[in-house]
Amino acid sequence: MSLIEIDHLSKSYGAHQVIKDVSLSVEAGEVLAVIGRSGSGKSTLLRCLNGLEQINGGALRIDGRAVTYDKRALRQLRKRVAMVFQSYNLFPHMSAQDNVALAPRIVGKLERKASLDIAHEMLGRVGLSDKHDAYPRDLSGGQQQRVAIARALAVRPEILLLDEVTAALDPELVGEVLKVLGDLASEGLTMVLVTHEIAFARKAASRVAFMHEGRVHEIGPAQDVIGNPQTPELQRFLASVIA
Amino acid sequence: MIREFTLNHVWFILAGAGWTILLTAIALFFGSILGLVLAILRQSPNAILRVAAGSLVRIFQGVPLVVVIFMIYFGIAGGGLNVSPLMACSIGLSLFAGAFLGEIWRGAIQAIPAQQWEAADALGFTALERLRYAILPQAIRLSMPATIGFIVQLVKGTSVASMVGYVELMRAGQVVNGSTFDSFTVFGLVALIYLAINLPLSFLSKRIEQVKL
Amino acid sequence: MHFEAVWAGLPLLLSGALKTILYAVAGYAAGLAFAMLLIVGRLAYGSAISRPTAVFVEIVRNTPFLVQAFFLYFGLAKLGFSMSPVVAAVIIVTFNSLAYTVEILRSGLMGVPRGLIEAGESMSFSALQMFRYVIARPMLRATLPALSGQFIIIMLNTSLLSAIAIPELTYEASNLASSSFRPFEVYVAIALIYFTISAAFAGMFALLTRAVTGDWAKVDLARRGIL
Ligand SMILES: Nc1ncnc2c1ncn2[C@@H]1O[C@H](COP(=O)(O)OP(=O)(O)O)[C@@H](O)[C@H]1O
Ligand SMILES: [Mg+2]
Repeated sequence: MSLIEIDHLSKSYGAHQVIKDVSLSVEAGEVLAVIGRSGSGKSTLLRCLNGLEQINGGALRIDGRAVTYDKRALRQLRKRVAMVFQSYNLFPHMSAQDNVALAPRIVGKLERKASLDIAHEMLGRVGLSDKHDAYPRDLSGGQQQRVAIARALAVRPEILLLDEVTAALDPELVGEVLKVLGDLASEGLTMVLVTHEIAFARKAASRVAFMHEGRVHEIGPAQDVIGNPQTPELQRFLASVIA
Repeated sequence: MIREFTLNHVWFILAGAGWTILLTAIALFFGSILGLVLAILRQSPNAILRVAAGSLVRIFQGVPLVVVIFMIYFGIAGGGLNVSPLMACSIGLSLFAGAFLGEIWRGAIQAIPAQQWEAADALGFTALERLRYAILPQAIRLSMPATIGFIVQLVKGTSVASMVGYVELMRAGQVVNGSTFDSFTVFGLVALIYLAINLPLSFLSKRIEQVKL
Repeated sequence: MHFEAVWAGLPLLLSGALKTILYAVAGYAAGLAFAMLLIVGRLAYGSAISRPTAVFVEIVRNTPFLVQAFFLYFGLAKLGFSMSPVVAAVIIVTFNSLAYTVEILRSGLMGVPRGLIEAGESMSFSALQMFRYVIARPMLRATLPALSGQFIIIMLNTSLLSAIAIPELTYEASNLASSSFRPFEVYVAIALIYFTISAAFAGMFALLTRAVTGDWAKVDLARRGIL
């Protein structure tokens, strides 16, 4: 049994079908990179995985348990499957450590002191031990995104979903975030990451899925999919992002 | 008998200003509670609650404050209960404040970007936790200028209490005018006291509007 | 509850309601017109005009309507400037309309793209031309919802004119309330009337907004042969 099982998944917004019969699975400890053109359904797939979007057809199982949408099940799901967004979405009225400590305190029901200990540990993991009291507005984009990663890690999830987390960053700040992701990958955290950083996907991901018009068009070991694309769609896509 | 305008009259008017401030504080306290409830209900997934809260706001924004206060005053008295002008005005002004604050805060809540709501969802928050920890703190800051601006309207609104005979600042002025007939001095002084209460609030409201979050 | 007294007094209430609408519309329109003049004046003369305006605006906005009415009607009479209640009423409503709408228009003016104004300047438009051809439309378009809300607030405030014996809706109602000994029913009835007036004007402003933001633009384009 795989940690994530996606089984003939479909998802529509009104009449517009965005995910079409997608099936794939992700093993514990694996890093799956999802690539593809804008609008191909990558974000939607990710958002289905932690219940931000409800699926219309097929099935979704995390650790063998089907995803359902009652409040309690969603809360449990989100403790196990955390998400990081392109635009960081830190709470602007809270310091870095309070952003990170919030979920352990509220969702994990920890004392304030214990939740802050977790926050300090997580900020350390993303290399921001000196920024406990900084507010989002005082941090660079790269630093904000690292806080957002620390915030997602703070509930000690089994799976981390990352949606183009470097896309909003100035080029010189991308490296620091990718380094954190690389470290997490080598620690064995299960990750599904949507990215346009092809070189990074090739190096850090165990497998790569190429999405095209709502379907998984190609999937396989990172070296193969990126180094030896089979379909003209993927060849064109790779040519356009690498050029 | 016409009396000179004396220092005693000034004290009487100033005491009236004290009651104006008290009435404002009462209405602000209960109005904030009501306003918060209304603002939250208007985000409710339950359509009945949403519509009910919206209608309440619309009704109190579509009827003059003085008519609301008269309805409360005569409605309770007509039911055979004893109601003091202070009580009737407190209820009326609280409802008025609740409706306007509810609307201001609803606007602020809706102005918080969808990504902030999602970030809270993704952390596993319930709807109430999302409001309490992620949305409301931001909405309250965002609405501060409008909220303080509304307090000015509320201070002005308390003058309507004079029409049911509650001796706040305006009524105190009318009482003094009734014995001195020096309307220019009396209502000039009353106006100056309202300015002294409201101008600092207005300037504060403008000042924080310019400060970025 | 007994609404017979209300029925009997209904003609009186409706004539009061008509006066309410008249005072509100006349005062509001006059205030809005002055506010636009002030905006044009600002364009022409800059801050020389905005400082005295600001003092006036702050005084009106920070004192109660009732106090303004008493000061103008009773206070000034004491100094020998006596005026009829009707004149006092019109002045008060106009002043309040002016004080609030000028702020609304000013914020709308700040929202007009800088580039548009510079384009007008580059064609050396006069202040009036600038207002007429460059600023008026986008400014009104952006501020119509706020102007609508402000009208309703001013209309509701005319109820306080009853305190200086203007025979508008609330004044007629308080007479009826004391003559009929049915105050509660009478005030419920006029609450309904006020609510109806508010809703009707809010609806008209909504239609106007739609016309200005949508269809009128199309009419304009059609006239120029683009559509
Ligand atoms: N909330 C939504 N409502 C309607 N359509 C949406 C919504 N979110 C995304 N879509 C549409 O779904 C498609 C896939 O979007 P998305 O998953 O964001 O693609 P990607 O992340 O690959 O760029 C797009 O055509 C987009 O317009
Ligand atoms: Mg996307």
